[in-house]
Formats: sequence, C-alpha cells, structure tokens
Amino acid sequence: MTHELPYLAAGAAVFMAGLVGTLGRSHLFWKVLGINFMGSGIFLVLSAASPRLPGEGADPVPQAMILTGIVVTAAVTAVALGMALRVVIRTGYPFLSEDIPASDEGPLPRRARAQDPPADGST
Amino acid sequence: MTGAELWTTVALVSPLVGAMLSLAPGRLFILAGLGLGAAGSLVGTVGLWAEVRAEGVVRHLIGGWGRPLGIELQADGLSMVFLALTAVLGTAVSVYASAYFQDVAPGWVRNPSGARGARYFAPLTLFAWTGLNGVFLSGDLFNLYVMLEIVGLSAAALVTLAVTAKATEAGMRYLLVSLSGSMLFLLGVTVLYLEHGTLSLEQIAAQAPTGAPGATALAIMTVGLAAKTALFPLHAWLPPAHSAAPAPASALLSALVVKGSFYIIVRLWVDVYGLTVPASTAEQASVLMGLLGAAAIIWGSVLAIRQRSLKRLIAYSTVAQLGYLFVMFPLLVPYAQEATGAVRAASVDAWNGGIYHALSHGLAKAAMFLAAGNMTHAVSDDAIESIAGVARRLPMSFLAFGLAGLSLAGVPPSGGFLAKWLLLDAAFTSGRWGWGIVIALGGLLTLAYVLLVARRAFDATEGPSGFRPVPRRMEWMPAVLALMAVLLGVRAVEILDMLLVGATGPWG
Amino acid sequence: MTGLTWALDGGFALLLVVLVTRAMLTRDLFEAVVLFIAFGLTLSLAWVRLGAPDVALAEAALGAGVTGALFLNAFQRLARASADSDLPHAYLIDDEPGVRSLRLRAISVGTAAFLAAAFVGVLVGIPAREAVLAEAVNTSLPRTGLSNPVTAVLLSFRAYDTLFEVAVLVLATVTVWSLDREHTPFHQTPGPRGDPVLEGLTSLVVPVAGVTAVYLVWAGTHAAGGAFQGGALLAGIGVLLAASGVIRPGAFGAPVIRVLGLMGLALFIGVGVVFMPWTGSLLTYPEGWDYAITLAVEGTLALSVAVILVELFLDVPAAPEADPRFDRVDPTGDPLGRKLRWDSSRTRRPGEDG
Repeated sequence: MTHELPYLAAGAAVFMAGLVGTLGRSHLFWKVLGINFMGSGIFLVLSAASPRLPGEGADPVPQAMILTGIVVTAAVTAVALGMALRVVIRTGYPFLSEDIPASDEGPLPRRARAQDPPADGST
Repeated sequence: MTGAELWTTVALVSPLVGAMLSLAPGRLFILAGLGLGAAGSLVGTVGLWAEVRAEGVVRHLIGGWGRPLGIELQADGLSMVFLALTAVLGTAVSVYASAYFQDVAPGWVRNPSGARGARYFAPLTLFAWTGLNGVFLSGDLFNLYVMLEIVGLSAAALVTLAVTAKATEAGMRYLLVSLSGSMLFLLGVTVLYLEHGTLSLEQIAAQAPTGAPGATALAIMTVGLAAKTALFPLHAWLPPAHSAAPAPASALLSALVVKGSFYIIVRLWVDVYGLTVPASTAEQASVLMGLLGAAAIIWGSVLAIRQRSLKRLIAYSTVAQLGYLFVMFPLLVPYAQEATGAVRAASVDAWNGGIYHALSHGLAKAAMFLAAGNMTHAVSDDAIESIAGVARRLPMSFLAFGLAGLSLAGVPPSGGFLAKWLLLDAAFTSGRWGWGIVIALGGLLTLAYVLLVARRAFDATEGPSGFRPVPRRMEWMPAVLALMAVLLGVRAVEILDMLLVGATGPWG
Repeated sequence: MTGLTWALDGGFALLLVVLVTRAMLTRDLFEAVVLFIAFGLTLSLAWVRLGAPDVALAEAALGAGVTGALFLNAFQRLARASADSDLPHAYLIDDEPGVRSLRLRAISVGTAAFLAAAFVGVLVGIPAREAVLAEAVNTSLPRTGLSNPVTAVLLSFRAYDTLFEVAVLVLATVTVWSLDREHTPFHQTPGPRGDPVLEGLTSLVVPVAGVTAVYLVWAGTHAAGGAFQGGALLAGIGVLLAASGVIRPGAFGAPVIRVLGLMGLALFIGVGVVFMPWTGSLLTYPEGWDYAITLAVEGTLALSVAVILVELFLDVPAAPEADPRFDRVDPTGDPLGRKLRWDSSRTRRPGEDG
C-alpha cells in the first residue's frame, strides 16, 4: 500500500517542527506545544511505516503503543502546563530567565513596554 | 511461582502501592507508604540477588506470554547492582526525609510551604523509586520509555517541591529537557521496532542492529538519554535543578535518577549493540563518548571549585563525576584484536571500574547532599562562606561530608579509590595514557573542592553564632551512607562477581 | 480511484504540516492553541485513513479534546495573569518568537538538521518486513477472550505497560497537586458561577456523550473503543459539567472522588498480583477468567481515567489574581537569580504588600 507514504513524510516534518519549536521558542507554552507535536510526529512515522496484514487494519502492536503514548503525553502536558503557570506566578514571566539576555539591550522589553500602560501598579 | 517472579514483583509493586498508600490523609500513611516501599525494595533486591547469584540471568514473563508478544523482565548482574543501590539510597533518604520535612524544612521556616514538601515528598519519591526499579528490570524498549517518563515526571516534581522562583524555573527546565530526551528516545525505539519487528532488547541484540537505521536509532537515543544524564555539553540544567531542590530530593536526583538513563545507555551500547569491537566505527563512537566524559570531568570540577554556594558546588561535582561513567566506554573496547589474558583483563577492569564508580558515586553523593542539607540548615544559609565552624558544631555531618568527598576523590581505601584505580589500570595496561591522565587529574580537582569546603568548615576565627540544632536521624543518615561509600573499597568481591553475571562484552 | 486516494492522503498530510508549522511560528498564543486543536482533529482523520480507528478515537478525545481543553484552560489563566501585569503582550503575543540566545538558536537548527539527515537514512534503510508480530497477536487472540486485537495488546499482551501508563496518570495528578502549595489530596476549591448557555448545552450533550462513553468502553472488547477513549469522553462530560457550574469543582476534592481516581490502578495491581500463587507470573489470570477480569479492569480504568483527567483540568495552579494567597515574587531574593532588565519590581505583586 502506498497511501501511507505522505503520512510518513508528514510525520518526519511534524516531529522536526515540534523539536525546533521546543528548542527555538522561549515562551513556555510553545515549548509544551512543541513536545506534543514531537510525539504526534513519532506516532505518525510509527503507524505509517509499520507493516500491514493483507485485508486487515494496521498492526495492533504499534497502535497500542501509540495509544499509550497519547495518554502519557496528555498527562505530561497537564503537568508541564501547571508548572509553566507556576513559573508565571513565581517569576512574573512565561519564560525561563536563561532565554532572556541579561544585558540592557534585550530586544523584547523595549518592544513590549512601548505599548504598556504606565507601570505604577494601577489597573 | 519462581523466585525471580516473586522478587521482581515485590520490588516493583511495593513502591507503587506505597505511593498510593502515602496519598491517604495523615502522617501515619506517609510513613507506612515509605516503609512499604523501602521494605519491599530491600527484600525484593536481596531475594533477587540470591536468585541471580545461584542461577545467572533470571526472567519473568509477564502475563506468561513471552517475547515478542509480551513483556519480559530480566535481571542480570548490572540490574542487580543498580537495584541494590536504589534500595539502599531510597531507604536512607526516606529516613532522612521523615525528619527533614517534619521538623526542619530548611529555609522554609518563614514559608508555610514546608507542609507541601511534607505532603508530597513521599508519593513522588515512591513513584520515582517504582520507575527506577522498572528501568533496571525491564527487557523491553517501549516499557523503558514508559518507565523513563515516570522517573522524569517525579524527578521534576521533586525539584519544584522547593517553593523558590529559582526552584520553579529549574524544575520547569528539567521537565522540558527530560520530556525532549524521552521523545528522542521514543523516536529511536520507533526506528528499532520498524527495523526489527520486536521490542525485546534481547531479540534486537540477536538480530545485530547495524547499518544506517540501527546506527541512527542509537545516535538519537543516546543524545536523548545523555541529555537526561546531563553529559557535557547537555549538563546546563543539572546544577540549578539539583541545587534548588530540597536536600533529600537533591540526594535522590544526583545519586540515583541520573543513573537511570545512564543504565539504559550502557544496556544499549554494550548488550544490544555490542559496541566493543576494536578498530571500527564503534570504537570511534566510544572515543567520542569518552572525550565528552573527559570534558565533563575537567569542566565540572573547575566550575565546582568556583562556586560560592555549597549545594551548587556539589551539583557541579555531579556533572564532573558523571564524566567518569562515559570515560568508561572507550576503555571497554579491547586494545588488541587477539583476546589474550591481558587484553581481557583490561576490559574487565574498565567494566568493573566504571559501574563501581556509578555505585560509589551514588553513595558518596547522597551522603554529601544530605550532610550539606544539615550544614545549611544549621547556619540557615547555603553559602560556603557561612559554614565556618560547622566542623566543630556538627562533627558527624562534617565527617560524613569529608569521608564522602575523599571517596569521590579516590583516596584509598574507599569505593571511589577502587573504581578509579580499576579505570586507571584499564587505561595504563592498554597503553591509553590520555584517559589515565584525565582520570587522575579529575581526582586531584575533586580533592581541591572538597578541601575548599573543609577549610571553611574548620575555620574557627568567626565564632559560630545562631546554630540551629539538627535532628539526630538527619545526622546519622549521611554518616551511614559515607561509611558505606568507604566500605565499598574494602569489601568488593561480591559486587564485582555479581557485575560479571550475564555480562555480554568481551569480559563476559 | 488511486488518484483520488493520493489526493486525499496527500491533502491531509500537507494540512498537518501546514498546521504544525503555522502553530510553531505564529506570535499569537491563542492562534497557536486553536491550530493545535485543529491539528489534533486532522490527525484523527489521518488515523482513520491509516486503518487505526482506536487511535483515531483516542486522538480526537484525548489528543485534541482533553489536551486542547488543558491548553485553553491554561491560556485563560495566563490571560488573567497577563491582564494584571504591565507586560501583557509578552504573555499572549510573543513579540520575538525566537529564543533570545544565539547559542540555543544554533543548537535547535543543528539538531533539526541532524535529525533531517537521520530521517533520510531511516526511510531509505528500512526494508519491507513481514508483520510477524501482528500475526502472533492474531494467533494468541482467542486465548484472551477479546476480539479487538488492539485492546488485547493493551490489556493482555502488554498489560504491564498499560498498568504503568495508568501510574503515569496518577503521578501526573499528584504532581499537579504538589504544584499548589495549599493543596492536599483532599482539598476542595470553590467553583465558578453557572452560565445559562453552557447549562443548556450541557443538558443536551451530557446524556448523549454519557451513553457513547459507556458504549465505547464496552465496545473496546470487540471493536474500536476502550477504557482510555471512553474515559476521555467521560472526562469531557465532567469538564463541561464543571464549566457550566452544574457540579462544583470542589466536588472533585471529595474523598470518594479521589478514591475513584486511584481505584483503576489499585484494581489493576490487585488482579495482577492476586492470582500469582496459581498462575506464576504477574498479570496472568486463571484459565477462562481472562474476559471477565479484563472487562472489569477496563470499566474501572475508564472511570478512574475520567476522574483523573477532570482533576488535571481543574487543579491547574490558579493565577495570582484568582488566588491572592500566592506571593508572586520570591521573598528570599532576586526572583530570577540574575540581574534582568525586566526588573520584577515592574510587575504588580498582589497579595505581597498586604
């Protein structure tokens, strides 16, 4: 069967996009999204490339592995999001401080602050 | 029901049931959960140890299916040594934590969240314990992924038990690194499954996974696992995470959790891929591992010397000591094609020395972190500056720290000495001097940072003021562990014999 | 016909890549989350095309449904925190999408390039292989009493994995509890007010979804479906009920509910161990009992999975505004551990000065 081929390629692409997102974005939510995409990419490759029995559905063993993987990823996502929110609560920022330059010339604060209300604590 | 089936079940199920038990309200259940986990882990390990010594490699076919359909547990010498380390450290840390979270919770006095640590340390530790026992007993690739996720999740949660912003950030980063590492591992598992049609480690090993897919899978899995093991240059997450966590959690993470992913690397490289072939790409790959390990030894030690915070110093020391585990890989490869007695002896020494180092580092590092927990609690500060005079006020904790440090540095007759001596012997008999020099230099640097701490601790010029008392249980545990780290060097025959059971390399 | 098939599969595959690329590159967090959910739904169609209906159900219910709801929920809490910060755009609109560190940027591109090369190697190198394991599953299937091979793999052949997968779910709940300093396992939170639109929707959706969930769990033994898909659907009902205020989230702190969440794992371990004196190995059931035990485990698991997923949804740490007990800034020193231009003194600290 050839119709798995597009999914194989898509799986590889999705995994790589997820990886670049996880490493390359500094916002924690995008990092968590990226990890989810990495998982989906792996599952696509696994399913699309596994052999089939004639006249039957996909190989049940990788299907079970994917099911387990989806459940584990959902659980892990809940934890990661909870922790990311706690980073926001504790530090005030949805980033890890290593991802923001310590110098005065950091590109982000200037841009963001230009649109901010006066920082006198009033809302 | 065979002994193997019974003891593996006891070792796996009791920490898991303990974790659930410890969720029930009340301190009694927390202690009961920890007690069940510790007892089951110790009893299961002792039973299985006897079984493996009598019968060699033992198996447990779960569900009675057998491979490739079902999942197999297997225990050989390598599994046993790591299981024993987990049982001993888990028990010691649990005893320590029962006092730590109850009575002191250093640094959290002004903060009501000490209660959070008291509430959740036990279940999280027991889950990590379950996952580690699962890793050491698993004979199935996908099952290893599930176990790795259990270990990774609970480890990151243990870091964030400390409430500081630093700890939250460090835990978040640890979780992200850990999850990305698991994903890379899972990708490798996928490739191996597609190539071999089985998930059983032994069956894949029997099919000799060479060629492009096999090599790619190994490379991807090794990168993912190395990130979880904090191999240089993927180590940046470790010092903040291990230094920000509460002391008993730091001890577990530094001494045990990183060894879980290291264990999988060893299984894959040695048992599944058999990467001990002289003069091949396998040898080049293992030299690369060794170089990264050597860089970790130097870099980690130098940074440890430069730290001002006690716990950060110990955390950087972990980065350095993990380097030795990777310097083992090039030394495992026989230095000549003909398997003469000397050639085999060098390989045996490297294998014994490397794994023995993992063992003695585990005991010593846990002792150091627990002792550091006592010292920083006593002076209410984490800076090395402020521990002046603790040698007099907390002699037992200081002694534990010193003994453990000397064992790490490789001073005879400690376990660390034996491990380093075996590695040095392997390097010098095979004429690979470079590795020997790095190993020796690492020992000297270790001695330097241990002495830096000791000098400050003996400093009596500033009169010790405002010392807080440390509960006795917390004083005893690091001392016991440090003593064990030293005794490892005195009585090693059983462990070294055990390490050769079921070994598949040229030393097997 | 083949042309149409190719167009369909090519279209789905292309859509997946477009969605994920867009989600990873966009600056708008809400857009990214919506794209993630759209990706999950498209992916579940792809699973159908790949002949994996069980996975398709799980992807729709868990991948897109529950995970999507988790993201939306977290987004809402982040938005609430953002509204009170003086840097709202940095929370919800990432003005500078890349990492602000050249080193990390180089590492991410390098890793992606390495993996691109690796994928090429893998795709070229894997020969066509016979489905040995799938045949083994078919041969041993009658012994399990089940007729859906995927459920048989999950609950019989590789039940050990599934047991620890449920352990991961329980562990995740414990971890989420441990993130909230006030939380204990038997903690009750006040719930939101009811919403008339949601209440109307609820009365319509809940009965249908409930029946479907029960069907899915039962059907898992012989057709597509199973404990996790059914559990996720039940969890969806729970989330809807909680959001509409019909049941108050505090109800999920009740000991009975918490015990329900642990029951699946407890029963699974129990039946795994209790027959060992007769059958020898872990998770082995006596001859002829397989079907009954598997069905009992599946039903209990579905209930526990549902409870756990709802807890994961409800117990995410509250934003400081919603819960002023949090002091946002670490009182013991510089909160970020280093000097930043983004001085934390610029953010409001509710509950700190009081």
